[in-house]
Amino acid sequence: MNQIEFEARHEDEWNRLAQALDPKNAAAAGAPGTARVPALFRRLAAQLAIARDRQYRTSLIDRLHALVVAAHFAVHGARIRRRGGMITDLLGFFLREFPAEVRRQWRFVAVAALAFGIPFAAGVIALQWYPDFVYYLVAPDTLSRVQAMYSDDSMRFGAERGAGTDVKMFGFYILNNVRIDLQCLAGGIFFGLGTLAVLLSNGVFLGAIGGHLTQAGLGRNFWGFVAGHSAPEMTGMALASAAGLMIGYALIAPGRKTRAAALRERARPAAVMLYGAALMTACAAVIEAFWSSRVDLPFELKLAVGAAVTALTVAFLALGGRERGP
Amino acid sequence: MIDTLRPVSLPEGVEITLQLAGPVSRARAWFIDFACKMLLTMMVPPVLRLLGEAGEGVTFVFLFLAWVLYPVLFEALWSGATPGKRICGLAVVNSDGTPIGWSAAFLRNVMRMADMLPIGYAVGLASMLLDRHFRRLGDLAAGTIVVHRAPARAASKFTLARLPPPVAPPTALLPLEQRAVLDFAERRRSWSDERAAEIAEIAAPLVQGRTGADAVDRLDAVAAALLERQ
Repeated sequence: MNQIEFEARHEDEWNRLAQALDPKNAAAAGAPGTARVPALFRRLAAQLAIARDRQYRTSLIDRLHALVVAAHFAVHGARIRRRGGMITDLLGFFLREFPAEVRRQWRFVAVAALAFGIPFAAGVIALQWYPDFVYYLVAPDTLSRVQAMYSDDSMRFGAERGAGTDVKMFGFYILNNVRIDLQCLAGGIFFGLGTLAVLLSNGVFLGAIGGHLTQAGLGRNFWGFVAGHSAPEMTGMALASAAGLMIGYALIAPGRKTRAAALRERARPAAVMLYGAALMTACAAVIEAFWSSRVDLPFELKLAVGAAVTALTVAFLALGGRERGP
Repeated sequence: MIDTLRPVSLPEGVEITLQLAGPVSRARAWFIDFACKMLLTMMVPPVLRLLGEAGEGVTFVFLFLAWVLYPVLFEALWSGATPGKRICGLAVVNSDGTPIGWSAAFLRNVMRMADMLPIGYAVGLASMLLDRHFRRLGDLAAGTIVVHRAPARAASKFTLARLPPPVAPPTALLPLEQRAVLDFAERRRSWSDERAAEIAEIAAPLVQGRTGADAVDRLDAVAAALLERQ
């Protein structure tokens, strides 16, 4: 067969494939013609190999090559669509991949949680016995500002806060919390020390505030406010920190790899954790803006809801994304 | 040889070459995206401000979406291209030429923060210049590359009717030489006659001392013979 016959024989096939791959038709995944794409693609691959081997004209080879590249992209894109499309993929990412990754990296999560939890708990407890110690930890004017924020007066006025303010505060919280998450992650690049520093300082600061307000008799205001959103928010921070610690650990102990290779290997799980952390933080911001700020609700109800949210968070991370056995 | 092509072997038993995009074309796409984001940043908040305090909160969230999730959403949902990349004919693909998914889109855009350091994507540029495939740190981490998406052009029509009667080449031709002759016959109509003659005369063993239009006709005749070879 010479080149002219070769082109004449397959021209029709190539046009059909090109038409099926046209983005204008691609939207209709079930359109007639798309079902034949894989078979046409395999034949086309063989035809390109023949055209190359026989040194047919360059423009023909270029055309067939471009068609192969487009078909390759389309066939593998179709595989994603078969799984239910990108939206289903996104849900799977958050509902399955993310909790599974958290469990796989539980050591880093535990270190991050302890680095925050220990100074926090120690601060709260120590200040019950040695109240003046708080002045070593927090500047006096910061302390008085916080105390005013949680005083009974401001709590009463808070009830008149409108829905508009809630939305405004939601935007503010989400940006602020994401900023802290990013700090925790980025600190990992300094061998994890930056992450630990952020965790410890936040733990000490919040522990001092919590301990001081409890000791000053404003405990119901403070704990009632933070109960609802603290579980997802602290989890988000711990996960972002765990991602930072993973990066730091890859730099400290790369094992039998170069540091760059170790870092590259950690990058994917770290990114999964970070985006999961961002989701948690966003949930926390919703609760903080629309629920925690309500002062017309009894303290006990707020604690109960806080406990429920905590249980839900723990259950999601502990149980989510497990495969059912056969 | 320095080349911006990346060969990939497909399971279908054929090799494709992906055309990698360099720093300049990617910077151009980035500028278009930047302009889009700036436009959104300037146009939308004044509208949202009409909603009062709630609008302020929505503005925060909107800006966050516009600046952080813009590349992620477009690259994951729109065949690997932000509007800027699409206008410049670029696309993000996995290093084997398949479309990227969410985790790759997330990862390469998280790492953007590192690439932006210390100013104006200096780290990303250094990484692209050092890497064989023009990958910035985000691409290295996510295993992605940015390629030129070439449109599948139709091969130009060129039929025997427009060629003189075939003349077998007087000497044996190497495969690449055969292809050069075919390409000459195909493309010579895009040159002036003088330029075509000039090129044809270079193939001295084939045109055997002919010059000008004669040389061109002889080379065409050889091309016709090559087209008919079995």
